[in-house]
Amino acid sequence: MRWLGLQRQQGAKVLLVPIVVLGMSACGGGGGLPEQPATLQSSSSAKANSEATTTSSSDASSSSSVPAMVTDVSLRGTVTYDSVRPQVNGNQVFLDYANVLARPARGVTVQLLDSLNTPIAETTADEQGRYAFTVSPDRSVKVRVKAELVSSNYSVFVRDNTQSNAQYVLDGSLAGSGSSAVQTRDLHADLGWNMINLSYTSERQSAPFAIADALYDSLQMVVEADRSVSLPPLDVFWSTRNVASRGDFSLGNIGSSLYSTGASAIYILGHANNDTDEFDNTVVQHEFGHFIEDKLSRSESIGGAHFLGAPIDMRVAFGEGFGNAFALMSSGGRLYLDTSGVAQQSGFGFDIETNRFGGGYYSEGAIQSILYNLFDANNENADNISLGFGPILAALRHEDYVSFDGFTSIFPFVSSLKSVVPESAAQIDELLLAERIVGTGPYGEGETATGSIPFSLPIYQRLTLGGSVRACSDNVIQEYNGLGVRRFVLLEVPSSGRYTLEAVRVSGIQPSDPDFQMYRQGRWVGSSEGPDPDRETWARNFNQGVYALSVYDAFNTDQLDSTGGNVCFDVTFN
Amino acid sequence: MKTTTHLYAPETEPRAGAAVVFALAAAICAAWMPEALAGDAVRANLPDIHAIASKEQAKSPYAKPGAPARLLSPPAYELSVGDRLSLELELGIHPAGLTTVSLSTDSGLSLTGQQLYQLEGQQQVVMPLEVTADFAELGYIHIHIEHRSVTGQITARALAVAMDSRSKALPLLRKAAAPKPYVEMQATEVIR
Repeated sequence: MRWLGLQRQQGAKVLLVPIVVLGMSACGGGGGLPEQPATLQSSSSAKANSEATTTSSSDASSSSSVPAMVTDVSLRGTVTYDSVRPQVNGNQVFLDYANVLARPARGVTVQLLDSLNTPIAETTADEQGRYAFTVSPDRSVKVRVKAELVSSNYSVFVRDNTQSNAQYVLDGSLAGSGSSAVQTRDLHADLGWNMINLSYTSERQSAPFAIADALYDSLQMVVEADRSVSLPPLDVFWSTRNVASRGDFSLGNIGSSLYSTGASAIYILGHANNDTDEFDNTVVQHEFGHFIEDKLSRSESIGGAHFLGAPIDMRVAFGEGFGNAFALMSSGGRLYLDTSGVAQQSGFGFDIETNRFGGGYYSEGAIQSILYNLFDANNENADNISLGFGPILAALRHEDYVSFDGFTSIFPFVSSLKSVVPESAAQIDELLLAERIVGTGPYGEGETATGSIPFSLPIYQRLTLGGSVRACSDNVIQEYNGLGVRRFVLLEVPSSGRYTLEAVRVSGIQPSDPDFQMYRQGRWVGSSEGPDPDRETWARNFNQGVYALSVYDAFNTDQLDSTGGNVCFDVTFN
Repeated sequence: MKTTTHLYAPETEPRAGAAVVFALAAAICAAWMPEALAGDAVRANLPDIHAIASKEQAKSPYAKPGAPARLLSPPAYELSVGDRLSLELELGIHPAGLTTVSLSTDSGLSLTGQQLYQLEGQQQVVMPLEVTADFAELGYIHIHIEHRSVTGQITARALAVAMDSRSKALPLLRKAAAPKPYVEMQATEVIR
């Protein structure tokens, strides 16, 4: 905040510069130099060279008329943003507005614009937020900083979902480049917080850059682990209107910070006094972890609300546990912190090194603990391994994992990891055992933890042509994604052809509504969700091989407490 | 039919009392996910002739972790400026442990009624309120939930209920505005 006061004072003087320069230019003064037309280098070459250059067809002749004038001006500076971090004091988790720091905007795109707002050069800020251009003397230009991270490995854009998905940019003023060899322009994005009112009273400029900076840490970790990664473009949507109310996303009613597989986008909360997450870097990185899993690996997580301690669908447990672990691997800390409330002075957090949420392959807390202990340099208790992120990413991207016939969970991940680092198999097993996971192989065979759902084991049942299995569904833990809502069946198709899947109620709630969802090697095949009571029939063509089937009762997924319950079906394949 | 008491009885737990009762119906996001967000790319390569079968993968968004609570009453209301709206906010909460619920509003909304609840052993709470809109705008009632589990682990979650008292002509005005490619923010700048 001290820094800001200084900048604002100096900023007032800056406003004089363009006025003076433009005035001189209009009057033909200032040494008689004409306005210098500039051409834009290709952005790729400009970014490849850390210093972008504008050229002019008239540079040579004009410079000869003023021998003392430099032919090029090095226009350079630093881009910073106000950063406020979540802190812990006893049980209180809060945003620490008393300790605002100006941090460099690392890796963001910096452009040089002419007086018509047309980009004439582009570069990328370095680790200290520094940028540099070479520009003609006395050229009216302004610096634009885009809230984006673009490299050959990734492209991430921070946008406003409540303003037609417009991208956030931070603009300097239009001013002459001067006639000295060097001109410095430092740009800063303000927090907008008023320490007297204890509220946001001006534009929250630093938020998009805080989000980008959190993602910069994550991206560097991923790229360092595998320099061949090529991520698809990602939009991260943030707005001061993004609130924890469900409804129209274009109005800001996003409900929660989230990653959407369908939209392939992240949405971040920003409504002050309700829940803001732009400075909760671990929340931002958690959602980015979902993107990494989804795009670099595979995810059959069905998403939905999750409460850390509840036994949930193993696909959700693995995805959410990975998100939490990824966030703390990226951030370099061990505390996951999420602030909210009036003036952002409440919230919660947990220490990923201390799993207080229970064990089991269905526990998000257990999964995050295992993954983080695989990664981190600290060894304690059953943690005798420190792999870093490279082998974890390699396991997620391993062909055996990506083409696995079953569903994503800790089991196929561990099998894949053991093939990546076979020398560490014993230490990996130690971590699993400490979290009460005893199943082996990618299908978790021999697992004994039922999560209080007696029919949840074995994790997979196998269904062959002409055969039958009993599959039950219950919402006793929670609707939609609780452990036991869906049963997993491996469907073994002997040869390509047309077959019929059928589920018929044999006991439990009535009426029931059995449904199917089906995948093949992690890829969505389709669902059959007919409304007929107590029976579902699905006739279709199958290819030879194995399909992964999810069997459930629709009343256990409808979000209504008044419907659903325990029910069992006989599933046949003919 | 589904019972109203859902108990998760932990098996042998690795850490004393770590697993607790989780009986809440969940998936806050699933029911309200916009259509544009609902479907992943179609990946099937086989003809699917089942009349009901869907090629769209049904997923909820991957939401962040938080306290075990969800809003059961409607997420949005309309009211006129100056009118007093009586409503009941209803939450599904976790019965085990201690749950604290506090209410607040954006400026422009006035709230009458109990605004702090401490709950133990309840699965639901109904909070009667009266709301008055002082200005024509979209405001929110903020619901802050803190849950302390039986093992002492604290989690939190914010929810919000929209109170819309804007003129109905506003959506047309919004549509008339041409979208801009950038949200342009003026930097604090030093040139030297």
